[in-house]
Amino acid sequence: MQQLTEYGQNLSTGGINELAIANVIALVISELETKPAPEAYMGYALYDADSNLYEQGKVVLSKKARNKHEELIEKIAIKNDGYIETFLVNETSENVWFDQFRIMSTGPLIVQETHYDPWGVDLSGLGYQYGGIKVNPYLYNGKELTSGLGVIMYDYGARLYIPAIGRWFVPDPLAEKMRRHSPYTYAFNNPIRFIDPDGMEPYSVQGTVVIDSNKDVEDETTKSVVNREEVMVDTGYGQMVSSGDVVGVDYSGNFETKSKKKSENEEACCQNGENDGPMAAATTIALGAATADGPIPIGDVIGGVILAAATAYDATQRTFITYTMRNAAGQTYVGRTSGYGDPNRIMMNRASGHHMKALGYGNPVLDRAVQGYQGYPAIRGREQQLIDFHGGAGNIGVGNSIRGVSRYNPAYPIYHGASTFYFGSLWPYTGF
Amino acid sequence: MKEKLNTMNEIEYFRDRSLIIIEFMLSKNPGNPIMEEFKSVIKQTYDKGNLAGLKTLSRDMNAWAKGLPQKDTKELELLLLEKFRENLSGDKITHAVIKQVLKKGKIEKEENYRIVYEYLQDISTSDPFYEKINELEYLLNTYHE
Repeated sequence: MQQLTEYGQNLSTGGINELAIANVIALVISELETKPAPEAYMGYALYDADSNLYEQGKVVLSKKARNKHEELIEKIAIKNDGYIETFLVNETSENVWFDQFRIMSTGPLIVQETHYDPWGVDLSGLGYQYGGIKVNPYLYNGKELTSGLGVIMYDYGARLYIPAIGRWFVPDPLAEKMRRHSPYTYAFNNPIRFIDPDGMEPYSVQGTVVIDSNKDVEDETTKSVVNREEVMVDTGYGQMVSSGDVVGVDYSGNFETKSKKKSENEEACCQNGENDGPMAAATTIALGAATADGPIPIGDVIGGVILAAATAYDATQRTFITYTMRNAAGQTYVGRTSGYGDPNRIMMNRASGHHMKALGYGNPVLDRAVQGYQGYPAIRGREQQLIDFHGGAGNIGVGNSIRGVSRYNPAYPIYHGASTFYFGSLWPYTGF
Repeated sequence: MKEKLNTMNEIEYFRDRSLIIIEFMLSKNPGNPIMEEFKSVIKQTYDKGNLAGLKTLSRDMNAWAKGLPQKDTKELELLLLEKFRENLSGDKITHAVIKQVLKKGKIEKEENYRIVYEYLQDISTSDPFYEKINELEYLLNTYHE
């Protein structure tokens, strides 16, 4: 400023001097360039849900805005739920114009979202996969998913785990430490309480489990102890059978014994007296000592009753099931569905969003499950027999508006016969 | 005459498609009595000229085949692709009905209700209408009303 004053005095005393004018202009420009920008800024303050300030900041206007415009942009990572407060401030007497102020919320880009049930089965339909990028294979418990054999498995290090059946692919290397558990069971059949970080042995996430080689590991939550060598099974109604005689169990808790199976096979309606053909080989589930030397689990013995929660299923084959649902008025709805893996899980997957739930029906109860080539016709027949058993489609006590199998379906006699063969006769044939 | 020819073509299509599936299953389970029964019923239904019955059988066979072990399903789909240029997800009747009810926004006939109902029983993520599950469930409900 002092220089400018001196130049001005020189100009006024010495007349027009072009060089002096040029110098003045240059000085003016230089002065303007060194002049600081007005103290103006865009500010923000972040508050948590309880209105506590946890972060604040501002973006100050710079000289770039002089006679032009400048974009003030701040990208803020929001760490907590709460509020944001914003300010546009000019602390000087100079004019500053703010324009096009906006707050944009840009959520994080979710590239993959996977939901599981406690056993690690992917709840398909709930997840999400962003297209065009490499899929993350480290999923359930952070373990790598492999499907090289056509079966979805997780690599736990020591062993591969098959979530569809809740079983390991190979026996437990430490099987001798847990003699009363099947060496194929995952997390003692209780993945909510136990974890198995490396496939060697399960650990309780609620406390330490002491493994004594002379004592079986006991899950105190369920009090389940499985002894594959000696099980007398209470089948209910005062019946006791040896586990060696048990060849199957349905999901209502009815036991199938060798003697009963034989008798039923002999009475099968649509067979030619063949008991050992492909049909007979398709017994749904095998339990007990007679079949304990493969990847076949053993049901939990609780108070002397086997719960059919643990079953061996071929994960590559579809399982067909029937189920019932009831509403407050006592009406029963009969349904069937199919899928891969544990029947209860298949059923519950179907239950989510089931159209009968909107009509006041509760959770489904599993009726029968069967796997393999003959599963489809057997379950079709079972569905119809169940509907008829409860009064028939359209009956006031039944939620089904239509029959499971049309009376005119040319295959109805076959469905009926297959069901009777597999599950016994529940209701007579009702077709044309 | 043309209509009769079309019906003949149609009935043969459903017979052949059903037979291919059941014969494939029989090749995997030789002598299986249930499958032999099915084969016999398909032939009888064709002999009676029962187009509606064959359509039902074809639909049932398709649903049944979708439940086969995965490696067998793939093998069967190759056969169907070769013969009919379609796979097990391409059940024409079911797709036509589902498209129709979705377009109309309601189910008008019991037969269509059955088709939608059965489709939902065996739906898998690879099915073309998988994304429409909720809508189809809703349509089943409104049919009840």
